[in-house]
Formats: sequence, C-alpha cells, structure tokens
Amino acid sequence: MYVLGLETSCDETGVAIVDGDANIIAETLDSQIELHAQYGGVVPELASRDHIRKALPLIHETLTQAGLEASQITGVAYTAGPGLIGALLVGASVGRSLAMGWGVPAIGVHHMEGHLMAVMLDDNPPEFPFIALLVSGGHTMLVKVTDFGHYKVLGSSLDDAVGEAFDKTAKLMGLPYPGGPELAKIATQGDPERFTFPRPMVNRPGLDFSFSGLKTFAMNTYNSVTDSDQDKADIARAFEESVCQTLTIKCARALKQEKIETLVVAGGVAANQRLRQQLHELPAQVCFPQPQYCTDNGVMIANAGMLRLKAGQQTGLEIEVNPRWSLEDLEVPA
Amino acid sequence: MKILAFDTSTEACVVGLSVEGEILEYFSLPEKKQTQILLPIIEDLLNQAGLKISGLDAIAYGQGPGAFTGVRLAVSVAQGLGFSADVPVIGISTLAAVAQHANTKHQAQNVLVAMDARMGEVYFGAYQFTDSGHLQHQSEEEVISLGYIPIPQEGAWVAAGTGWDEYPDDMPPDFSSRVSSFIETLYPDPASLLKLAKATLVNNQPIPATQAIPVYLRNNVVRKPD
Ligand SMILES: Nc1ncnc2c1ncn2[C@@H]1O[C@H](COP(=O)(O)OP(=O)(O)OP(=O)(O)O)[C@@H](O)[C@H]1O
Repeated sequence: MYVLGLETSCDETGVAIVDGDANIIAETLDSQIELHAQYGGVVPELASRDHIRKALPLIHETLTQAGLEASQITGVAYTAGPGLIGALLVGASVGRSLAMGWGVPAIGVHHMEGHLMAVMLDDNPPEFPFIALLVSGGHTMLVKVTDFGHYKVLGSSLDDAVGEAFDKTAKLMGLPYPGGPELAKIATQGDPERFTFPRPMVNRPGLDFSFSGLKTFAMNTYNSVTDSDQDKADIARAFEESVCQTLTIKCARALKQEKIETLVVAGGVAANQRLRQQLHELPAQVCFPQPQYCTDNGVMIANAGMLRLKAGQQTGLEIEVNPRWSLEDLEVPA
Repeated sequence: MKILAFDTSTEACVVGLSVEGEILEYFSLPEKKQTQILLPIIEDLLNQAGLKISGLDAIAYGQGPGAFTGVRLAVSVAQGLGFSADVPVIGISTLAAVAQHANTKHQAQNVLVAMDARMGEVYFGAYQFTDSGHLQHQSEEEVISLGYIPIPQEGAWVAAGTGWDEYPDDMPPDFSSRVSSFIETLYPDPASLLKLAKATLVNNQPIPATQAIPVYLRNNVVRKPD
C-alpha cells in the first residue's frame, strides 16, 4: 500500500507518500511564507494561486524521489478541511482527479486529524488513549483520543488561536512576519520578573481557552513603555510565560479529569521551547511529533489518509471541501 | 482524435467528449456546485464512449478568464487527469470559446466578447473567424472598463457575452456605430471548446499537465500595506 497525500489548506503546499505501515517514502514541501510576508498575513487568493502552480510539480518530484511508478500508488489523500476554501479546493481537485485517473480510491482528510496522528509516525508512537493538545495558527484544542478516529473535543479557544495570539502580539510590537517564532526568540532575552500577565480562564472550571484579552493586555503594556528592544523582550517573555502556563494548567486538568497518562502535543506552536519545557514537567508521558511534522506538511495528510483508507473509507467523485469542519463531525471508523 | 474538453470559468458547467468526430456533450447552469458534478459527468461521458483517460489524445480545459475558483477547478482537474495518464493538455480561452459559440450558432464572423469581471470591469477580447468558422485572429485579451473597450475600426462586429448588460452607463462611445448586433450567447459550449481544442492540436504542441496554469487577467488582487 502506498498513499500519496496532498496538503494545501493554508500557506504550505505539501506532498508525501507513506506506505501501509506509516513509513515515510518521500516528501516535499513548499512554503509560501515569503509570498505573504509583505502583507503581514496570509492572502487567501494569493495562496490559491500559488498552490495551483506548485502542487503538480511537487507531486511529480515526490514520485521521482520515492522511485515509484504512478501505477504503484494505491490511494490519494488530500486535505478537505478545515482551512481556506480556495486553497483547499485546489488540493482536493488535483487529488480527486489524480485518483480518478489512476483508478484508485481517494479520501478527503481532516487537517486536524492529520496533526493529531502525526505523532504515530514516530518510531515509538504512544499508545491510545491520550490527550492531545493541538496548538496552531488556526486552532487551540484539547482532544481526548481513545482510538484512531475516536475523538472528543474537551475544550477549545473561544476567540484567538494560540498561534494567532502569538502572531498578533508580535505584529503589534513590529516584529517581522510570521511573528510567533520571532516573539519566542526575543522572549529568551526578557526579564521574567518585570511584567506579570493574566492567566486567562485558569480560575474558571472547564477546558476552554481565551487569548484575545492577553493580546490586548500586551498592547496596553506596550503602549505604556518606551519601545526599546529590552521592553519588547520583557513583554514577549511575560506573554509567552502566561500562554505556556495557561496551556500547561489546562493540560494537567484534562489529564486528571479523564484519568489519562499520555499527552500528545501537535501543531505549529508545539515548536515553542518554553511550552515544551513546562509540559515536560507534567506527571505524564509527553510526546511531540518531530518538529517538521508539527507545522503543516503532506506527510501527516498521507498518514491520516492511509489510516482512513485502511479502515475502508473513501470519498466519491464529488470534489467536496469543508472550510469549517469540526473534528467531532468526522466519521467514526468501523 | 479523442479529446475531452471542459470549462467551469462561468456559472455553466460545460463538458464535451469528441471521439473520431462524434461528440458527446453536457451543458448546464447547475444548481449544485460545479465541483460536485464535474468529475461524475466526465466519468459518465467516458463510460458512454467506452474510453479511459489514457485513451485520450488530449484534455482541453477552459483556462479563463472568469471566476477565479471556477478557472482553478478546470485547470486543476486537467492537471490531475492529464498527469494521471500522461495525456497532454490544451488551455482554451473562455472568451474565445464564447466567440466560437457565437460564430457557430449565428455565423458571426467578427465577435467582440465581454464577460463581467466585477468591480466595474469586463474581460474582453475581439475574435475573427474564417468563412469556414475557424478562429483566424484574436486581439490581446484584457480586463478593462467597458467604456474603454477598443472596438476595431475595420469590419462589422457582433457583441457577445455577459459583460455588455452589466454596465449600461458605461458603454463604449462608438458601440452603436461599430456594433451591428448583439447576441446573447453567454457561455462557452462543448462543441466550441472541442473545435478550438482540435485546431490547437493540429497547429501547436499540447503541453504536459504540469504546465497547465490559469489565465486570470486580473492580477492586482491585493493591495500592499503602506
Ligand atoms: N516557537 C514558536 N513559538 C510560538 N509560536 C510559534 C512558534 N513556531 C511557530 N509558531 C506559530 O505556529 C503557527 C503556525 O503553525 P501551523 O503551521 O501548525 O498552523 P497554521 O497552518 O497556521 O494553522 P492550522 O494548522 O490550524 O491550519 C503560527 O501562528 C506561528 O506563529
């Protein structure tokens, strides 16, 4: 079994081939970060225009890298949502048509299931059940995963996603796009004692998050200081500390509430070092996918698609995408 | 020759399959989304003809201009199908297909096509056909305000497409003196796509699927922050 996966939900075009045992056979990735950087955020129309120029050449390159004939591909997976509708449609149309031409099954994959299952690509994958913390530019979620395809969303952000809060806070301090990693970088130079930011929602029961107030708090603090590099670093430090502590507290709460001992962290913000440090202090087995599979990539889509195809699911000839697709609306594998 | 052709740049879903001169066709202004019906229709036509993708000599796609998502649908389906079986592809101008339709249906020899491009503009091109109905010459296609359309001075012209009705206050000043009639041929049709595709196949090399790209004409889609 060889499944070709295609990711085009946002600003990365990713293609990969995995086999039926989740071994990665080949992978390619093209990031549009530079394209969007001059606008300070992803421009959806430009993203779609770039995907349609890159997807097929990357597919070609991935097949060549794999040393496989097209006729050896047994299934095609593509991200069907959530994400930018125009960008999703490019990947879905190319992927669905390829599968039709090859005469193999196709499967539309949930992007977040891709992130969730990326940890299964590790040499020593964790065992079910686990709690997953999904933290990316578009999502913040705590999910209870009892088996492949069996997900229960325990909590999510009521407003900004964590990555979004990082990016917006970075932007208001004039840091270059995408701000999250930049903010984390200068935070290492910050004084942890100078500012204390609130820990949003930790005093309330439940597992939901809210980060927009923190961003406002950062803005007010920023407006009250002189705007030196040290000021920025101190604010970055306080912001990051608050976010990481909030996430850690909620993870601890979820693990305890569900009596589960394994935590999986996925999504772009999982690259944050401070977050990793704090989560590793939890009394649980804490797993991170390899850094390159934390951010958007084709491998995680090929992998999730492979698992779905193995479970006997496939998508018809209608090209369907769902820009707002809840993880809980996913079909439960038989 | 066996050619598959389709266009989704307008509201219409247009698919044609030509097998040694015989044409199977589909045309609708669908209630469902084009994305939901395009591949099932293609499969249906192929089945009727007893053909597989790999049995085709070429796949022709409406390259635009038109609705951005619709243009990308046709291009990405052409990419996927073409690449899957190593079948070369041919990009067909959606405007030229409308002109060809006007020619076939109304024997119009000189056709001005304007299709609504929103934001006060139209996609425009001027097309001239031979007596036998073959596209002979075409202007450069552009996105332009209706009022600024350069109507050629020579010849009797016929206007076609969805753009003319859209901005009645902005008609080109010489419209009534230069344009003899108005045809409500709004959309590309399967036969026109196939005719243009055949001509391209005879005169030019088709391209590999990896080189299929949309023609948007409108390229200033974002404003840079100051
Ligand atoms: N070291 C870091 N510290 C904080 N945030 C980071 C770090 N590295 C990346 N990020 C953030 O991660 C996000 C990108 O992650 P990812 O590629 O998973 O998400 P996305 O494509 O934006 O969203 P989604 O996967 O939900 O569609 C950005 O918001 C970025 O700022």
